[in-house]
Amino acid sequence: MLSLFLPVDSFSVVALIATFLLISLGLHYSFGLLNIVNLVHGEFILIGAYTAFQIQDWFGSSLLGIVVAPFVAALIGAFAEFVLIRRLYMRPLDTLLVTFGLSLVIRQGIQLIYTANPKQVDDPISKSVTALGFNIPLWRLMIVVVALSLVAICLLLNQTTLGVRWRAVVANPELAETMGISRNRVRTSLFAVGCGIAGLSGAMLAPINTLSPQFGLRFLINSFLVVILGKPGSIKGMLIAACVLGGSLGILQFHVSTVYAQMIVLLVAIIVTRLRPLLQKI
Amino acid sequence: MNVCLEVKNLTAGYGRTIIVRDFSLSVDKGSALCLLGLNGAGKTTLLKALCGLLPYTGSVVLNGKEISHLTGAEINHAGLAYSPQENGVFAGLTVDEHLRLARRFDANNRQRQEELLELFPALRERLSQHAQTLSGGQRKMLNFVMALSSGPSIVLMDEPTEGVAPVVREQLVEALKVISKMVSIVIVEQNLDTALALSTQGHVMERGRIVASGDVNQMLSSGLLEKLLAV
Repeated sequence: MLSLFLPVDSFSVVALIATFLLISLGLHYSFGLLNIVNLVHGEFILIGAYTAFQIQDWFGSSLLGIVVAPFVAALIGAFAEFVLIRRLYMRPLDTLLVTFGLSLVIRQGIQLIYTANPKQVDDPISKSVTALGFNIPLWRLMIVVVALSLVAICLLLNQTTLGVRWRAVVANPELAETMGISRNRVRTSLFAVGCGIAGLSGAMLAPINTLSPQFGLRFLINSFLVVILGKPGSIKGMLIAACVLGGSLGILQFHVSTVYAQMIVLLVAIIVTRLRPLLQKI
Repeated sequence: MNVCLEVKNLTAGYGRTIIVRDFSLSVDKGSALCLLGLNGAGKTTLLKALCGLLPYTGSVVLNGKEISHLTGAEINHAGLAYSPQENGVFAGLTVDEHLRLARRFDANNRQRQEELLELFPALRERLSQHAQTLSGGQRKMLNFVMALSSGPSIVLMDEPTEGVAPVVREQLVEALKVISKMVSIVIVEQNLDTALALSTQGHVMERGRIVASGDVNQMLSSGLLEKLLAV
């Protein structure tokens, strides 16, 4: 009976939680903080993954591609914010439309350049270790380490000069502006950081997945689920939500099919969201 | 040149609705000037336009430099600070973080801020408290310190004593008297006593225009203020 609730491979569950964290952290900045209904988030994950693939194709090093990917995604993100999103902060529904349109353009653009044929990014480590009876692929362990490090960095960043400025602009952009903080610059940097982290997550996840132009889409729903369930703007909430959603999905996948597991996880998310006001009162 | 702020033919509003029309004003260095007017006269709109939060037409010169093309942040760096009527704190930030922002993380501004905090010891005791949990009076105090910490040459204060208890108002007015010796101040105020305690020179606004100017005491004794402001 107990085996029904215990995962066969606990590390896979941990890796899935880390993946949920990694794909959601970028959205924390664009959606959680800037209130942009960012439907192009999945495409920045895609940009990161294809950047890793392209660099590997040019220079033969997937690791170099993974290092470069976040910068490419951040640059494209900064440009998109400057050109398209900057004028829409007071109109969240319009951001939904614009980011949806942009996601189509990016996805189709990538399909035009790279075709719809599957692509592969090499695992930079491609080794595994055995610990506590589990076989642990080192690249998956790296994903866990990077995800946790990023969360720690983001939490620490909140207390720095830059982080306080970011939080000030998010809380009261007009007041921040009258105190000499450029809300435009801060918003661009926040969106670029979000896109950069999305790009990094795409590049990190590329070696353990097959790439196609639809690659980013499969992470979009789960990243929104994590940010919304964890309360937009809260990194700690996001951490808990990633553990709840990623953990339950990881465990369920060992017992039921992935489709059912995802359905149950969605149900959990709906129930928690529904009960959250009650839980906050307790 | 003794003029700190010179506004010429400023017209501003929200969208197509014009609130301030063809407004001109001059503020000398080191002086305090009050803008009086009933609700809807355009006082807050004028201040928001001057600090770059609303688009406008016309010319605004600060310390000899045209600032009408600058953003709000650039205007603040040029030396114009603003203390808003309401919504003057950042939710989720502590008092200490507000102070760090206000001094721009610059050690040179720390000394000035320390002197300002002498005026408001209540803030010192609440450095780790979230600013949105401060009382109305304490928020106003924090606003004053925030506006002045970077050493501006002029501060625009929108209803600096509005919505606070009489005893706190007295404390704020005393602090404002000290502050008015440090920088030029433009105060928007509906409370005539507060305005008179800080400046004898004033303008009365009505429908976005100046309708009377001069010594506030004289305007009061001549019955002009009674007519314009129903005081």
